[in-house]
Amino acid sequence: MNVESIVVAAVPSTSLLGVIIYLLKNPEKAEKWGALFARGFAGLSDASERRSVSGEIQSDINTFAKDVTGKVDASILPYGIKIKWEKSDNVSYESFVSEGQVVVRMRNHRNQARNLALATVAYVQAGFLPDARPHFDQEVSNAMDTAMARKILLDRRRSDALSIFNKEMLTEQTPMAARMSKIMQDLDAKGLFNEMLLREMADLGKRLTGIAPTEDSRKEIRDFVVFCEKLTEKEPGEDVSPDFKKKLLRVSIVLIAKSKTYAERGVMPHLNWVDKCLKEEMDSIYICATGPHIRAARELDALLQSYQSVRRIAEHSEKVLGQKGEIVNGICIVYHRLA
Amino acid sequence: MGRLPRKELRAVHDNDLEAFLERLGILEAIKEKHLTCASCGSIISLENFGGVFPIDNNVGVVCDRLECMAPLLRNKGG
Repeated sequence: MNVESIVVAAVPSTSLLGVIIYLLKNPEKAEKWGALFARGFAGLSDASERRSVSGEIQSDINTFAKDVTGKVDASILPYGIKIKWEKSDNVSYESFVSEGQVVVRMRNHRNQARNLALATVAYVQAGFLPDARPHFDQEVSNAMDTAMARKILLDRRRSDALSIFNKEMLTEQTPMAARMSKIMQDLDAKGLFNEMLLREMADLGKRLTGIAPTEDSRKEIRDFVVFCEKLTEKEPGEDVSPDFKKKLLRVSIVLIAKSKTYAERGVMPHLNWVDKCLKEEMDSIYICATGPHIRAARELDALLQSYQSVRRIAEHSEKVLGQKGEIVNGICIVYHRLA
Repeated sequence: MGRLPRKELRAVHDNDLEAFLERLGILEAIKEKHLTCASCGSIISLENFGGVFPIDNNVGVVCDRLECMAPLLRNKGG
């Protein structure tokens, strides 16, 4: 065997090994491929049909959960989803009543949009912010669930499932719930839903684990959601650094948006603001900027990295909605005060 | 990052639906349109059946509107 034939033989096996390693590292992708493969045989066997339905849903939702878990905080979506099929031969009236479980109907894969919308609703109800959820009032809980379910379906580019969700879930919202949903949608457009609101809720959930919810804690969280409206209604070119200073949540958001301030005084006004926040024992400081103002955010970030009193938690960049409705680069850098 | 721990959502596929409802003893009642959605009160048929849950040693049903199923699913599945 000459060198050339060894190389020709080695390339396919190396590629195959690469694919196997990739699938082992990304079981959700393997699940998706398995579901697509099973779909080819869905008309021939019930098992393939079920696999086709469940595999695709599990892959879509679990890919999203893993992404959020990896990028923001593991306690936002700590679980994946597994569809467990009920077979008629192992169920009885007695076993069903005694087990106390809900069983939902899944339709044929040709109606997969409805299946995905249903599974997303079920997943969000049970697996989204489980530690913080007992401290939400009903309207906050509903608005959070709605925002997250929409986010999953949008992320997976399932407009068909999103359309079913919008039609069947958003029919009877109270004015306050509609307002909260709008706040969350606007926050998401600015890249702050995951990075700020959910991060704060995840942290709060960890701190409050095992503590009974009170009316005060529910009210404070509700007030925080409403406070977030200030971030979404900021006028173009306006430097706003709103803060929320209460018992459970002490958060300041530095929104850098005014070129004139930066041209005249650099980042000093923002640095002074951060110093003031630290003196006032704010626990979280978010530095956010879009487009040309990212440079100022980076400068402020560089100065803060030398502070002993804070810890840099995360930095997140993505395309966001700018002040005039245009798509721009955005950045959010998260600091926590060290006790 | 490896696989996340998974929560189960128990489901019955359309292909197994009639046999499943038969085992629960509610197939005839659904076919004869004697059952109503526990949430919105609409009559349940095989077309709009959405899910089933145990209640007070009995079996309750909901229609397939997401709004009717959502409260049921909180802390029960998914």
